Amino acid sequence: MWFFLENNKINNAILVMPSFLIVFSITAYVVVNTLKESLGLIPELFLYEITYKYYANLFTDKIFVSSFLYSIFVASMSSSLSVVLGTYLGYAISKSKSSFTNISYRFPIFLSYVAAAALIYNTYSDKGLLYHMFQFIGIEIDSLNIIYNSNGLAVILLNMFKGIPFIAFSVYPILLKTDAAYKETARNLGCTNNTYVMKILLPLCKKAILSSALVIFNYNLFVYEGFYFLGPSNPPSIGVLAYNTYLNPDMTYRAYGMAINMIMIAISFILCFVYYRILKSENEGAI
Amino acid sequence: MKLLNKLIFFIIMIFLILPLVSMILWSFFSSWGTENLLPHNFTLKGFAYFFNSQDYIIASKSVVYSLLVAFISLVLSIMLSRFLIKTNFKYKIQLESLFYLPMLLPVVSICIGSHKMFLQLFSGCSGLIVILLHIYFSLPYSFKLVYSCYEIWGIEQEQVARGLGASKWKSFYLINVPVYFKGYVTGFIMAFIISYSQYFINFFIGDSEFVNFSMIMTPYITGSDRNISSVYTLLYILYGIVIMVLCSLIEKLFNKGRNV
Amino acid sequence: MKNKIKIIIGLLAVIIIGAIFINRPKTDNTVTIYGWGGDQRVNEWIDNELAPYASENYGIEVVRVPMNIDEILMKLTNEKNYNNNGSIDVIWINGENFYYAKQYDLLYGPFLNKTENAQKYVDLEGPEATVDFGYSTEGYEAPWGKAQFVFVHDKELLPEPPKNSEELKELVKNNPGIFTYPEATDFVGSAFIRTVIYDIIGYENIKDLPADYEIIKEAVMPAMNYLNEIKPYLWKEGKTYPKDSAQLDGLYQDKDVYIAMDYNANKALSKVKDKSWSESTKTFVWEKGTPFNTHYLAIAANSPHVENSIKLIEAALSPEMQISKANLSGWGDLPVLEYDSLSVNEQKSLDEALTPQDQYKNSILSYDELSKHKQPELRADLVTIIEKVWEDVVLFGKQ
Repeated sequence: MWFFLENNKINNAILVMPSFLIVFSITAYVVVNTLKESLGLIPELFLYEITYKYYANLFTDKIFVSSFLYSIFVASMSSSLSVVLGTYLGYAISKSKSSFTNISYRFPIFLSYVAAAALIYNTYSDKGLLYHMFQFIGIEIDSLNIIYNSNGLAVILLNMFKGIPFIAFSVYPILLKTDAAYKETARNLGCTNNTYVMKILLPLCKKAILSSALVIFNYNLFVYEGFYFLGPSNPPSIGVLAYNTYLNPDMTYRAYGMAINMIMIAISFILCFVYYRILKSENEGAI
Repeated sequence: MKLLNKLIFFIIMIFLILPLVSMILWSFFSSWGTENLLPHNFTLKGFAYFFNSQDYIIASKSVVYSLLVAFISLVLSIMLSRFLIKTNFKYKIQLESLFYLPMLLPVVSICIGSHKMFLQLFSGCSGLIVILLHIYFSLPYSFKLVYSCYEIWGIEQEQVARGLGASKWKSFYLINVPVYFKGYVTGFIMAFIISYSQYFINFFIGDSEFVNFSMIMTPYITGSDRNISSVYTLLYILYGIVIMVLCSLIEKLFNKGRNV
Repeated sequence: MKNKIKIIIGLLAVIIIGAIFINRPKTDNTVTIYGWGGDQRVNEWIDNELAPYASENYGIEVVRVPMNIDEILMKLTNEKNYNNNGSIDVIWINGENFYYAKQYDLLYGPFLNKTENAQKYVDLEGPEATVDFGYSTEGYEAPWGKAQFVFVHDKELLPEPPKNSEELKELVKNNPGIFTYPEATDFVGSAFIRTVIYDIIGYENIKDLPADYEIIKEAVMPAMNYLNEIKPYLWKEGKTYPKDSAQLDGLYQDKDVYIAMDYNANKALSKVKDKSWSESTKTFVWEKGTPFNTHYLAIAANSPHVENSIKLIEAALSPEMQISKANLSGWGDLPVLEYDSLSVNEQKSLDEALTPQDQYKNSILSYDELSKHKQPELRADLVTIIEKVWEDVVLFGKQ
C-alpha cells in the first residue's frame, strides 16, 4: 500500500506537469510582458521609462470608449442569440435522425473566422446571394444594407453563424445521453414536455452552455476580423482599434496597442473568474 | 406547436447552409452580374491554380500537422482529467479554471506577447514554438470535452480492475477506452478543428517550413478575387471533412460488435 | 478485431510522424522572400519565373512566404535583441514601412553598391534608387518595380470620368452613391487622399513641411474640407468606407460604385481578361498628377543567408526577370532598369511585353500617357500624419 501511495504522488505530478507548464508559463509571461510594454518599457524601440500616459490617453479618448461600448453591445447581442438558438438546435438535432443535418451543421465550426466573414459577405452583401435569391422569387430590393450597417448587423450574423454550431456541438453530446428512459420517468412523475425541457434537460447542460457562452462572448468582443470586413468604419470595434494600433508601422503606437491588449487580457481574466465562481457553486452541491 | 418547432429548425439550418451554398457557387463561376439571375462564366481556374502551385501539398501537410497537435492535446487532456478526477486537493477548482483561460485569451495578444519569451528559450527552433502555441489553444477544448466525460463516468471500474490485479495499461485499454471512446474522439475532433483553423500563429511566428493552409488562404480571402477565395475555402472544408469522416469510420469500427 | 485497430493506429502514427519530419531539408542554398501574398499573379510569377531562374543561374532555392508587411516588421522588432538567426531573408517593402524599419535598425545594409546588376542597369544616382517616399535609402533597399496610382471606371456606366477634384465633386453631387474610396489606413485609400491633396493644394506646397501634426493639419485643411463636403454624396452616404482596396474592387465588380482605384494598372486588365470586371472598364488619371512610386527589396538585419539574399536580388534585377515581370499577361509590373542600358533585343522584348493585345488596347493607358501625369510621393512621416488627420477630421468628425 505504501508503494501505491508513493507511486500515486509521482504519477500525479507527471500527469499534470506538461499541461500545467505549457499553459501557466505562456499565460504568465504574456501577462507580465504586456503589462510591462503597456507601461512604456520597450527596449527595442528605445523607450525606457515607466509611464501611465498610454492608459490615461486611452480612457479619455472618446473614440476608444465609444468603440468599447459598441463592441460590448454587439458581443452581448450575438452571444445571447447564439446561446438561445444554439441550444435549440442542439436539442433538435439530438432528436432528429437525419444524418445530413447532423454533419452539415458542423461545417461553420471548421472555418476560420476570416473565411466565415468572407462567406457572410458574399451572401449578404448588397448584390450577394440573398439579393439574387430575392430576384429569383421576383422581389426587387434596392439595397439590402446589411453589411456595413452601423448597428453591426452583419457582424452579429457572422457571430451567430459561428456561434450557433459551436454551442450546438457542445450541448449535443449531453442531450444525446439522456435517452427515452429519462423522459418516460419524468412523464410518469407528472412532467409536461415543457417542464421536462426547462427543468431537467437545461440544468444538465448548464455548465456546457455557460462555458461556451463565455467563450463566444469573449471571442466576439475582441476578435478583429469580423468587424474589419463587415463592420462600419465608425465606430470601430475594439479589436480593430487594437489591430490598427499595434501593427501601425509607426512604432510609437505600439505601447497604445499593448495598453489595449492589457485591457483585453484583464477582461478575459474577469470572465474566467466568473466561470470559476460558477464551477465553485456547482461543486458545492455535489458530493 | 410542432409545426412552429419544425419551422424554426428549418430556418436555422437554412441560415447555416446559405453561406456554404454561396461558396460552392462562387467556386465554379467567375462573375455574377446584378441583372442576371444565375452566375455565368463557368471556370475551373481557381482549382487549376490550387493544384498547379503546390498549395495542395501545403494543405495536406497542415492537415497532418493539425492531426498531430490534436493527438498531443488529447493525450495531455486525458492525463489532466485523470489527475483531476483522482485527487481532491485544495486548489482543484482553481486549476480547472486555469485550463479554461486559453479559450478566452485573444490569439493575437498571446502570439505577440509570448514571441519574445520563445525567442529567448528556443531561438533556432520555430517548429517547437508553433506546436506549443497550437497545443496551448487546442488543449482547453479537448480538456473540456474529456473532463466532462470523466465527471460523469469516473474511474471506479478501472480501480476495481487494478485491485483485482490487472496491470495499469490493460485496465486503461480494456476498461476505460471503450466506454470513453466517443468522448475521446469528439475531443480529438474539436482540438483538430481549432488547430486547423489557426492562421495567425503560423502567419506570425512560423517560418517557411510551417506554412499553414489557413495562413495561405487568408490573403486570398481578403483579396478581391471571389473565385479564388471560394475555391480555397471549399477545399479547406473538404480537407477537414475527410478527417471527420475518417474519425467516424474509426469510431464505427471500434464499436462493431460492442453494445455500447 | 483488436489487432486490426492496433495496426491501423500504428500505420497512422507512422504516416503522421513521417510526414512531419520529412520536410524539405534546409540547405545553405535556401532563401526566403517575405511579402504580401494577396495577389496570385505576383505569387505565380515569383514561384514559376523567378524561382527557376534563380536556381538555374545562381544556384539558390527560393521559398516564398506570404505575410503582411505589418506583421513582418513586428516580428523583426521582437527578434531584434534575441535572435541572430532570423527566418526572414528578403523583404518586399517600401514607403513608410521602410522608413520605420530603417529607423529601428531592422534592415541589413548598405548592400546596393555590391549588387552587380544594379550597377549595370539601374540608375544609382536617380530618384528611384536613392529616395523612397522622401527619405534617402542609403543603399539599404534595392528598387524592384514601379507603380503609378490609377483610377478605373466603367465606360458604359460613366462615359466621362472626372479628371480633377472639381469634376468629381460635380459627379457625386449629381449621382450620389456611385463613388467611394478606402479608409486612410489602407495603402490605396491613403494614395487617393494624397491625390486630392496634390490637386487642391499642390505637391510643392506640402513636401517640405515639418512632421508636426498641427502644421500638417492646417496645411491640408482645404482638402479635408473638400472630403467632408463630398461625404454625404458618397456610397452609403459616407457613413462607412471600404476597409481596403479589395473591398472597393468587390463593390466595383457588383456595380455598386462606378470608379475603382489601385497602384497597379495591370490589375484592371487581368480582371477584364478573366471576366470578373466588365469589358468596358478603362483606366484614367487626374490631370494634376497621381502618386508614382517604386517598390523595393530589402534584407533583414538578422537574416541567416545574406549572400544568398544578395544573389536573389541580383536575379530580380536581371533584365530577363524584369522583362518577364513586366509582361502584361502575368504581373505587369513596370521595370526599374534604365531603358538605354538594355541591349537592342532586350529593348524590343520589353516593348513587346508592355503592349497589350489588340482587343484590350483601349482598356489601359500606355506607359507614356501615365508618365505625363506622375508626381512623386510625399515623405513617409508626412504620410502617416496625413492619415491620422483624415481619420480625426473626416472619419470621426473631430475638429
